[in-house]
Formats: sequence, structure tokens, C-alpha cells
Amino acid sequence: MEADSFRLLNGVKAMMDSGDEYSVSGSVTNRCYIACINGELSSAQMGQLYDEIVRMAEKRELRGVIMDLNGLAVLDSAAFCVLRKISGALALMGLKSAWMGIKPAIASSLVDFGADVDDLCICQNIEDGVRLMSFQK
Amino acid sequence: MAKYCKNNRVLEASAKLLESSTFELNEENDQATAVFMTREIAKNAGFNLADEVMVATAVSELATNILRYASCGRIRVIVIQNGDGRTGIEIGAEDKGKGIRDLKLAMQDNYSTAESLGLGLPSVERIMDEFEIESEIGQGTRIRARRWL
Ligand SMILES: Nc1ncnc2c1ncn2[C@@H]1O[C@H](COP(=O)(O)OP(=O)(O)O)[C@@H](O)[C@H]1O
Ligand SMILES: [Mg+2]
Repeated sequence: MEADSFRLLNGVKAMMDSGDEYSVSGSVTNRCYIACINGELSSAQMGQLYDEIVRMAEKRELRGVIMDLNGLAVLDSAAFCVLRKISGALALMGLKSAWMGIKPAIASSLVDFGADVDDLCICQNIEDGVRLMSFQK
Repeated sequence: MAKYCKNNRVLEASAKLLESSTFELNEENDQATAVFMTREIAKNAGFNLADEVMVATAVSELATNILRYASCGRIRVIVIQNGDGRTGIEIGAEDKGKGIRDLKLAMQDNYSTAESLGLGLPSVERIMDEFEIESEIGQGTRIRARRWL
């Protein structure tokens, strides 16, 4: 590997070790849990995300979960699959879920891998999402 | 060794190598590094944000497959230039895993031996302008794909 790439790579490693590259943080508004999903997610981290969100949904008296994908760097088919699984599990628990903040670049890769998005609830902002959930339940 | 090429066209041998980075894939974190670095490399090569994300998505798919089906391997991301001076990114993914029995099937939408979406390889073919995959049972799998600026 060239020296430059190698330096850069070490920089990335340092950043990852400090935990900057991945985080899911959340807050609750109007009985909706808003989960912010950031960075490049590996499959293991996606599994963690699933556990975290589903556990969260169980704990509180929630109406639904809004998954904020605005900070997501890349969404491949494995990550998409996990997000779908989260929405499916939430539905079985009687909770609504909405995907928020899909950036144009992510949208075009979703289109490119031919993901089936017809039955997903997509919202543009938190108000929009909260409103959708209040009406639907 | 079985081979499949997008539009039945093999990759031209004449592309000039400008810069090359190799990412070894042994565990989950290696995938995130490869994806992050690919974005940097694509950005520096002049790709716009949407294209940068697409190329990184292709790397993510190939890395997922290597870790899932071959357990380890490597991905090389190369900045290249063709005879007309056009810049591109070439992704090379290789592993010494179990190989793919039927390439035609594996390249079809929704075909998966892992009961997952089966959209990885076909999406990489769609994202990239040029794409070829070679595989042999018990020997491994090699993919090379290019996207031009
Ligand atoms: N590197 C690899 N080594 C062995 N088999 C592979 C590899 N990559 C893909 N495959 C096979 O090709 C199939 C299709 O791959 P893909 O389109 O990525 O879908 P998915 O990973 O969702 O199954 C996989 O189910 C697997 O059987
Ligand atoms: Mg795959």
C-alpha cells in the first residue's frame, strides 16, 4: 500500500478505536423513540443495533420508532436487510416504524441494488414521523 | 475456472495503474475500514458524492461476501486511467474460500444460499460499468470491477 494511504488508514484506525466511527444514540419524543444511526455499519454492529432498538422498544411505552439514517455513510444489502428486520420485529410488537433522513446518495444505491421499499414507512423529519405514528395507531 | 462478465465483455488489460490500496479482510472491523477508505479514494480521484457512495457500497457488498462465505480474503482498490486519459476506480476482491458452484445463478437477483436478500453481486454488477467474476469450487473467487468517472 502507498505511504499516503497507509497514513490515512492509521488515522482511520485511531478514529475507530476511539469509537467515533459508529454510534447509535437515541431520544424519546411524543412516545416515539428516535434512533440516530451513524457511520459505516458492519454486520456485527447491525446485529447490535437490532438488539438495542428492539430492547428499547420493549422497555418503554412507545408508540413507534423513527430510524434516523442521515448519518449513515453507506447502506449495503446486508445493512438494509437488518433495518427491514428491525421494522418487521417492531411491527410484531405492535409498534410503528419509520425511516428518516435517507440521503440522495443512499437512495440511489438503494435503487441500484433493487431493494423493495414499497411497504416501508419513510418520513422526512421528526414531526412528519410523529404525525404518521399518531394517525396510524 | 468458471467466469462471468457483464455484457460478455472482459476487462481491458490496458488500463494504467495510478494508485493502489489493499485491504485485508479477516474480521468485521476490516470491512468498515475498507468502506471508509474507498470513499476517501473515490473522492480524491474526483468522484462526486453519489458515485463515491455507490463505489463504497460495492466494496461493502464484496467485503460482506468474503467475510460471510470465505471467512477471509482481500480487496484492492485501484485508481486507474484508460487510453483516453479517463480516470476510474477498479475494485479487485479475492478469496480462497469454497467458491461458487453456479455463477449464472449467483448473479441473479434474489439468489442466495444464505437465505439473505441475494442482491449483493447483482447490485455490484449494476453499480460498476465493467464487472467480471471467476470462481472455482474449493479454490476461491475473484472479482474485478470498474467504474469510470
Ligand atoms: N466470495 C464468495 N465465496 C463463495 N460464495 C459466494 C461468494 N460471494 C457470493 N457467493 C455466493 O453467491 C450467492 C449470492 O451472493 P449475493 O448476491 O451477495 O447475495 P447474498 O450474499 O445475499 O446471498 C451467495 O448466497 C453465495 O452462495
Ligand atoms: Mg452478499
